[in-house]
Amino acid sequence: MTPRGRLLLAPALVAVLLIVLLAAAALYLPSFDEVAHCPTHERPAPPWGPVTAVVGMVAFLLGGLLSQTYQLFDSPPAPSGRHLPVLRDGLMWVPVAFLAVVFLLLLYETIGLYDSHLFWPITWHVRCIARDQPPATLAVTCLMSLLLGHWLWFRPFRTD
Amino acid sequence: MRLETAIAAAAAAAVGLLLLVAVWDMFAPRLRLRRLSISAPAPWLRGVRAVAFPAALIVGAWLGRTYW
Repeated sequence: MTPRGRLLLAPALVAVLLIVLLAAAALYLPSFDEVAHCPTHERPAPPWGPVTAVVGMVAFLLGGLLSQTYQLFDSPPAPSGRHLPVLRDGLMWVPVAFLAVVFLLLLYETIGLYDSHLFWPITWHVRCIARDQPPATLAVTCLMSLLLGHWLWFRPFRTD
Repeated sequence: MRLETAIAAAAAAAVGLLLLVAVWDMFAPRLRLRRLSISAPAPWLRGVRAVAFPAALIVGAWLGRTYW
């Protein structure tokens, strides 16, 4: 595989995975009555809470460790001050769009938490699904933690 | 204001700031201004990532305990 292909493999896999997850959610959620299932917005029964938290943290660390494995298969040229990876101008809208979506979701969550009569907070939706489908929630939590760990792991650039 | 609401509001404000930086970076070349760093990792951004890792771990554990 070419270096460019290797570079695009991980984002392509993530995109496919997200599309599959979104399709599964779109098929399942319309038939799910949250108000009937979760009138009290309680957390899932033990031991799912602590288990999910611990497994999520382990997946986060694992994702970070996996981000180091690229160096085992391929040693990219060490970027110097003049060769740091730069996002192309045509793709600058991607982080803007992503951050805009996250900002709107957090705004929705804040308003929902402040006055739940206006909106149901996203937290309540998550709690409801977690109570109804604990194993599936655990699996998605693992996956998301893995991806976050993969992206957030601190890898200082080698300048030598 | 409850703690949950305050945390959500703080997170929204932080992401809003990042959004402003990203918008600045998008239009800076056309306006002949200097980009701030979303596109080109600067030393301070590496520092942010170094802090973000343990912070995300701690916040994740707290959220896990609170929400699940």
